[in-house]
Amino acid sequence: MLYNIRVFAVAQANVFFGGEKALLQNNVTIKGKENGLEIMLGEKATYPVLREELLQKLKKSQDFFKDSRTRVVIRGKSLSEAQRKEIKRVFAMDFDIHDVLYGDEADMLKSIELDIEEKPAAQEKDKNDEEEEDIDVVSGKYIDADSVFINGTVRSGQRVESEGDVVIVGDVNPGAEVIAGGSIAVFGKLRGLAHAGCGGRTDVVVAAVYMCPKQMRLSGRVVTFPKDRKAPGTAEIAELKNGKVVVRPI
Amino acid sequence: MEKTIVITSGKGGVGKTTSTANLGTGLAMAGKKVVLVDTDIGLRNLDVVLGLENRIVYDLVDVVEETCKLKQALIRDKRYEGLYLLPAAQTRNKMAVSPEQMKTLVEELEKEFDYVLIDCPAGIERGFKNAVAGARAAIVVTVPEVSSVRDADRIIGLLSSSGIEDVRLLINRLRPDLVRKGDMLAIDDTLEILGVDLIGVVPEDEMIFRSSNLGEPAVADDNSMAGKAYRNVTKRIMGEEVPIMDLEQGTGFFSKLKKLFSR
Repeated sequence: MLYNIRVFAVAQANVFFGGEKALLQNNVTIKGKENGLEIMLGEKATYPVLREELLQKLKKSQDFFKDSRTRVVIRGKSLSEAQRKEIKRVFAMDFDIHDVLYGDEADMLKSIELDIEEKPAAQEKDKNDEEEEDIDVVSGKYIDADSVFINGTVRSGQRVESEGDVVIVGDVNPGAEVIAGGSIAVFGKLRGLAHAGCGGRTDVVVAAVYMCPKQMRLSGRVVTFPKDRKAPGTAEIAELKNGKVVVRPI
Repeated sequence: MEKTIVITSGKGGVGKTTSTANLGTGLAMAGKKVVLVDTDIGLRNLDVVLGLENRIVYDLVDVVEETCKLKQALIRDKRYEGLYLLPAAQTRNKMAVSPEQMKTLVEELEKEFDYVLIDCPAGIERGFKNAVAGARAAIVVTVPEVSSVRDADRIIGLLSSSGIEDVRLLINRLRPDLVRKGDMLAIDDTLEILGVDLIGVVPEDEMIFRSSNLGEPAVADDNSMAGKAYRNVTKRIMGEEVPIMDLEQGTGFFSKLKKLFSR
């Protein structure tokens, strides 16, 4: 209770002494991230104070993010729908930045973002990298997890689950689900759903002789495959590289 | 092939009942003693397709509940020597019968008949469990369409977990013209997904509608393409080796003429 009162007092102070530079400067922090900016709004300041400070800071460093493809993610203080819209409008009108997301939106997007488009480019890059990379035993450190070996076809409606790795000698048909805490290898056609790293592990892969699922999940990432995808004659492997799902021939 | 066969599909409307009626009639025409069991309690159709609706007195549920003797419920088809129907009850539901009871019933029928064909309802619930309980083999009917193939795949999985290993695929209502245009799944594509042996391909045939409405199975009609396909399936059930019919080859006058010139 005491604590709450103190917080309230500080918030009040922000409003009343909002003009003071030193205080103003600390409510909004801007950080550069892999594909854009992350803006942190102080929880204690009121919306008008935050908006004012944000504008000042953005104007000061305008040149830094001239690129209109920049993604801006705003976190921290929760804003009302109207306030969110206003901030978005400011970004669009004054700075020509249209990709503005709030923290909760960004998190949701992260799990459903489809980065198929990025694949061809990433694939080429990876081919070059391939030789330099060390071969590591993917799940060597998780030997104690239970793994599953299935000799046969996993059909529609059937579900294979394991905390460890899953190896299937056969096909995974459309409508079937293979869920693994570790990696998944399919010595056959993968046309159903495969989810590797369901517990959050990111050092996992999905490998298949014929890779043609409708959807695949790696850790928290969900990717869809083009409807008319024809798998190449060789086996393929999907893995996470810098947070993106990359598919390449083995 | 085993002689107690469930005809199933998962999806509705793909031709389970029509296939059951035709294969049963075909087997009877070949001189076998056959009983067709309709397990679609509450939604019975097989009696209609066979044209035996007006002769039902007792049904499967009556037999199971011992209201009547098995022999009293069996309807003999007067047109085909050796063809019998055990109809489903229309005013009850699937829960009226248990898989154990079905198993006992089917074992009873096996003693009397050469072939027991069980017409399975759509779905994977109690009705399906009842239908497969006594079966020793299965014919899975599918139409060349993604959703139907998906359901067939599910059914094949469920059949194998019910201990039925002898599973054959019957592709129904195929239209070669649509396959050629790429608008319909080809036989090979279907087989590739399902990975079971093919027992036959029945082309789409308008005569089937007519024969179903009239209660006269197409298998007895010499002019029907579907009827011919069903006769071939019948032979394969009895263990004969018959090549899959070339559906590209039409039987009409023009296609015969075309064939003559293309030589």
